[in-house]
Amino acid sequence: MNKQIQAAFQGRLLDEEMLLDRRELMQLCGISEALLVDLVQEGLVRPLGEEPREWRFTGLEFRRLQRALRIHRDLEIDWPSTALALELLDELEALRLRVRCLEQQLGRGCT
Amino acid sequence: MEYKDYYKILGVPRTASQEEIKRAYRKLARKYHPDVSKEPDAEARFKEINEAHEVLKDPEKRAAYDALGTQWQAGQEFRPPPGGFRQEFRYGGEEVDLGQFSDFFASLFGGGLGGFSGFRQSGRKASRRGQDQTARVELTLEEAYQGTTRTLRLETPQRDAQGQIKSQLRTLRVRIPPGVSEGRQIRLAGQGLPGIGGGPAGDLYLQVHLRPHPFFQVEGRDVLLRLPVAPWEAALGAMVQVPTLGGPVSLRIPAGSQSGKRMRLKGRGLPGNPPGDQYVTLEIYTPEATTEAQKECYRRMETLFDDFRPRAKLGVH
Repeated sequence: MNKQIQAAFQGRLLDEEMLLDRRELMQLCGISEALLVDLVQEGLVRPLGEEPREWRFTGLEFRRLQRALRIHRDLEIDWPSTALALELLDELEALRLRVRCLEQQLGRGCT
Repeated sequence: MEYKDYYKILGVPRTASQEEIKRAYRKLARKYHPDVSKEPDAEARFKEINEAHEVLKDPEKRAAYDALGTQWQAGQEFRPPPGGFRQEFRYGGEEVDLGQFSDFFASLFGGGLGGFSGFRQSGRKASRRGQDQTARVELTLEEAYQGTTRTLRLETPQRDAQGQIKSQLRTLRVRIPPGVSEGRQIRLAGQGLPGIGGGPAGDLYLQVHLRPHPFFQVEGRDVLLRLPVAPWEAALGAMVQVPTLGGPVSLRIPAGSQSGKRMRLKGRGLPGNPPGDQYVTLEIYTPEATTEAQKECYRRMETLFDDFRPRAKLGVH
């Protein structure tokens, strides 16, 4: 137990610099190649590279794909609806972040 | 453990049809799904909703749950009878991954002493990867800039010697790398829930949130600051000190600067490749004139700047 407490695990940041190939992504998300190709065509996940064998996915795309898989499974919606939900959520989050930032600035300006 | 009223959780009567259960689940899932919802308790609520749906959508599990009777109240202390339940339910579905469900669910459907025998898992040998787990980590902006270490306490379901599933607390120390921005995730491979039948453990994902800072704001990796300056510093130009996450730096304010002027300190934002920048927006603070000499100073300015028309663009004098 003490050993567990002392050892500090180094995580991997899911960002633009983290790159996964097709196989790693399929393994981590537990999906088949056929489904991955469908999801790329649907625009749910956006690879770097043209041909499937050249595809690389950033940590941000990996996260997006995981989110898509959860939404598809838990809300019982089809892939086009999942793609729409993700796009709207992306936009909503960007706007919320912007509002939060502006509110902080305005709050300071008023005092 | 506490009894869970799955019908109450989904907001349906005990007589609800499968269609009504599905509709109620979908409606609640849209409201509380952690990927969609902003409700503060979304994750816990969705877990309950998902568990209730897992039981009530399946006629066999629902019948087993209904067989407990109607005398139970939500939250009431629940203990399965020592000799186990008398009912036998033949269950032909997939093995249930207990990691995502409560002790109450595990006591009913997870096998071991007391559980419904038809749901025991021992007959199936299939191995499967454990569930991924997520945890939320709050950091100050300084911690995000420098990197830090956090000790997390995580609940992990484990099977005891009697085969019963019990939640166990485990402690994990995690190093957070420098330069993590709002909403980013960190993956800890193999630190999620244990696998089934010898399968590998799932992963742990840490979702990072930054606490509001008293004077910095963050946009991605960029840091924003409103910098107060004196009127004479803005008018005449000056070299001033500016706080940054890496410590104070000097900034030259050009002569003739106005409030709202934005200046960039390249690479002074959160670390990364490329690192973020710090944007400084000037804010001219007017000193209050309290003494006669100070008031006289403003009156002299009024005379000296008699052609100054700050509202000219608004079409008023």
